Amino acid sequence: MSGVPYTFASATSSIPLSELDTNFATPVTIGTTSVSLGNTVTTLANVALANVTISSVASGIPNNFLANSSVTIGNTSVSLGSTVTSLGNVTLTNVTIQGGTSNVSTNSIVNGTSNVAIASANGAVTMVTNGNTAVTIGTTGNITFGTSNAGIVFNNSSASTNSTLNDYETGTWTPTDQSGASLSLTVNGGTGIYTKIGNIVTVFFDVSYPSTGSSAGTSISLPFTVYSGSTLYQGGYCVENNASITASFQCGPGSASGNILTMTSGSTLLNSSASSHRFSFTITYRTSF
Amino acid sequence: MTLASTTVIDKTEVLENGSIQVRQAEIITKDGVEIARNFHRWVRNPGDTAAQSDPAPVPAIASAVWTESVISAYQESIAMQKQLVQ
Repeated sequence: MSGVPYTFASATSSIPLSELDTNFATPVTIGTTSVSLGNTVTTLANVALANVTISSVASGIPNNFLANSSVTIGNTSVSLGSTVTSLGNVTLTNVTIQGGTSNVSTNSIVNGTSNVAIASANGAVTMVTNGNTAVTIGTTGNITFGTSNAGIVFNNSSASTNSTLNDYETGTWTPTDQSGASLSLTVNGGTGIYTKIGNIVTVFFDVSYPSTGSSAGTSISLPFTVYSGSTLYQGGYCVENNASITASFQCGPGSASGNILTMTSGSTLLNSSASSHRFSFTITYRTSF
Repeated sequence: MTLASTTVIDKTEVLENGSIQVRQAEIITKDGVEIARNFHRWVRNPGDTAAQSDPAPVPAIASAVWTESVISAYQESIAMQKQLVQ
C-alpha cells in the first residue's frame, strides 16, 4: 500500500484497507458534515468542486479567485457591504433597477465634469444633461423639452438652426380692424384659428365688415408678426362670400396685420369697398419665432 | 371632482422691431391637475395704446421697450409698406 497513510488521525473506528484499492483511486466520501484541512495546509491542487456552497469567508477572496470563470451568484439577490460605494469595469445585462421609492437621485450618473442623470418623480421621467433638465417624459406620454427653443434636430447637412424643429402651437386670436378707422369686424365662428409649426404660421378666419364709408385701406390683425428679416411680402387665399369681389390677402415684413387686395388692380381694397361684405381667409406666412 | 379655469399670460415675445407677441393661456384643472390648456394670441405694435389695458406683464414690457425711436421706426416701416402696396 505505497502512498496510503498508515493512520487516519483520530478516527474512532478503523477503516478497512480492503475498502481502498492499491492506488488509492477509489472514490471516497469523507464525512457527512464538514471537512477541515490541517492548519499548515494552504493549498489543494487539481481539485474539481461541484455543487459547492461557500457559507462564510474569514478573509478577502483574492482578486483572481474567480478569474476566467462564469459565475452565477445566488438566486435571489446580491448585496454589497455597507462600505462599498463603487463597482468598476462592470457590464450589466438584463438589468432591473428597483428601489424603495420611485426616485433615482439626480446626478446619479456622473461623467467627468458633466452631470447627467435619469430621474423619476411622480411617475414622470426626467433626463438631465450638464446639470439641467433636458427632456421630461410625462405620465401621459408627452415629451417636454426643458429649454426654451430647444427642439428636434434633423440629421441632415444643414446648419442646426436651419434643421431644428422647435415649436408647435395651435390656438385662437381675434381678427380686428387695423386700418385706423376703428371698425368693429364681426368674426364669424367667434375667433380666428392658427397653427404654428416651426416658424410657419397658417391662419384661418372669417370676418364680416360693417357698413362703412371709410376710405382707409383694409387691414386685419394677425396672431404673429410677419418675419422681418427679409423684404419678402407674403400672401394667401381670400374669398368673398358672394363672389362679388375677387380678392386676396397680403402681409408685409415686420407687420402684425395684412391687407385685402383686389385681384383686378392689385391695390388694397378700401374699407368702403369691403363694406357689408364677408371674407374667408386661409393664409400661410413665415414669422420670426 | 372640481373643475376650475384660470387665465394667465404665459408667454410674451418682444420682436426686433419692438412688437410684443402675447399668448394668453386658459388653463383647465380637474381637482388641481391640469387637463387642458388653450391659447389665445394677439400682437401689440410699438405705440399701440391698447397695450396699457392688457394684463400684466404686457404694459410694463411696452413701457420699457417702446422708446420714441422704436415707435417712430415702426411707424416709418409700416408707412413704407402702405406706399408699396397701394
